[in-house]
Amino acid sequence: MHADDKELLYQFQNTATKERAFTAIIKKYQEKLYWHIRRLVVDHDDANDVLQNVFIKVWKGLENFREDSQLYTWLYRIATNEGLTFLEQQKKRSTVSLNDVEMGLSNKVKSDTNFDANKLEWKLQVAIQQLPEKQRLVFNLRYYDEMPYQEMSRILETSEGALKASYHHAARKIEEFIRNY
Amino acid sequence: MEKRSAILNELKEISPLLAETAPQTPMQVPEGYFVALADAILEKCRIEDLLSEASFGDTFHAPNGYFDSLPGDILAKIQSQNEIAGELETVAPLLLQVSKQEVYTTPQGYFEETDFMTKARDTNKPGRVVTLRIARKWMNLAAAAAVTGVLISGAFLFTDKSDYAIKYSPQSPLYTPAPTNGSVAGDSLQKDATTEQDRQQEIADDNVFEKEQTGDPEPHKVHDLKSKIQLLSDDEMKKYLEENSFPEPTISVITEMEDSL
Repeated sequence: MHADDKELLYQFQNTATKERAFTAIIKKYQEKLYWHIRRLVVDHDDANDVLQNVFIKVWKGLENFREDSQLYTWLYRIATNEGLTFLEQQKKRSTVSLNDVEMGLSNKVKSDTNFDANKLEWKLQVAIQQLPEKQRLVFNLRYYDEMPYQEMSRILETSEGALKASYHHAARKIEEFIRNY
Repeated sequence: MEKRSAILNELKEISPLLAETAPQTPMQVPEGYFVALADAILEKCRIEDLLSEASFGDTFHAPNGYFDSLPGDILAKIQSQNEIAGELETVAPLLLQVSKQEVYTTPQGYFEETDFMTKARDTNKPGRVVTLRIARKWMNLAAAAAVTGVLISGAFLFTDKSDYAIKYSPQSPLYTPAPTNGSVAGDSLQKDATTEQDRQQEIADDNVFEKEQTGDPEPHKVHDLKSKIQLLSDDEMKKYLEENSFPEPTISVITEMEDSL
């Protein structure tokens, strides 16, 4: 585990320094986790809700956190699960098919105030939202967060081989989409 | 993190187009969002702690030993249902083949209505209280009106006296007592005869007086006779008819009275 994280966890166990340590953890990981969630749920307000729920869960569970894994991996796992749960709830509420939800996410990207269809970054975002959920997650973690497969495997509880395959499929689909867009 | 170069090399093999693109998210966050985020989350965490300290778990309790006896209770219930079926099998096996589905139907929307009524009853809206003040007031007024009516009627009975009653009252100055000679029965008869003669004389006097005043005797005769007859009380009329029980004398008396007028 990273030395800083160890120190923060130690401070978190102490009642006097608990809140200060937690604030430091939030500040350290908030942006990484926010963008991970935002790429998943697209909308800022949704991402904000999910992120806050993530940190509340961290607050409740950090005392029982086992230091045999990295704090960063544990946080990403919580964020991923919360994001997927949020999408699942949206599917149930909207009672539409999975494809429709993915199309809905693409439409959300297009409805962003800064959306520019001519820019490659936005085309890429539209393409990512049309991927299946697992491929989307793997591609985002690898492409944007530059996460090693080993780490990703712990977060998504999937073998490294399967993750590599997913990433390859995703990258090819995206390229094809961008070329035809 | 894995080195960017390794990831790029991998991406170049899969998708050269993506390898040329910078991995930047084009989406934006509101200004100052990450500055205030930590405090906002910490505040929420404090609320969560307070809520969890409120210990909602103590609100509901299962009775002691509930879960220990639950499997046995469920099995006993299942067995009792089997017993009913077994009993029926020995008594009337045909009934086991008959569906227990209800054949009766309820009017459409019956249970919805019942539910509505229950809801209406459940509301804690107090019922309308009707006071007895208005009814009591009317009863008092009615009693007062009845008492007033009795008093006014009584006053009329005591004060309203006819001319005849005034004239023939013993207190009246016009009253002439009957002579008291002979036996009691004879006195009575004599008194009645005198009274009758006096009345006839009185009527005749009145008519003469009116005749002198108006100079037109004929219409007043009939009118005065009628008014005099009207003055007679029921008892006097009855007595008169008893005394003149035969129709011929009655007519003759009336004729005589008319002649005298």
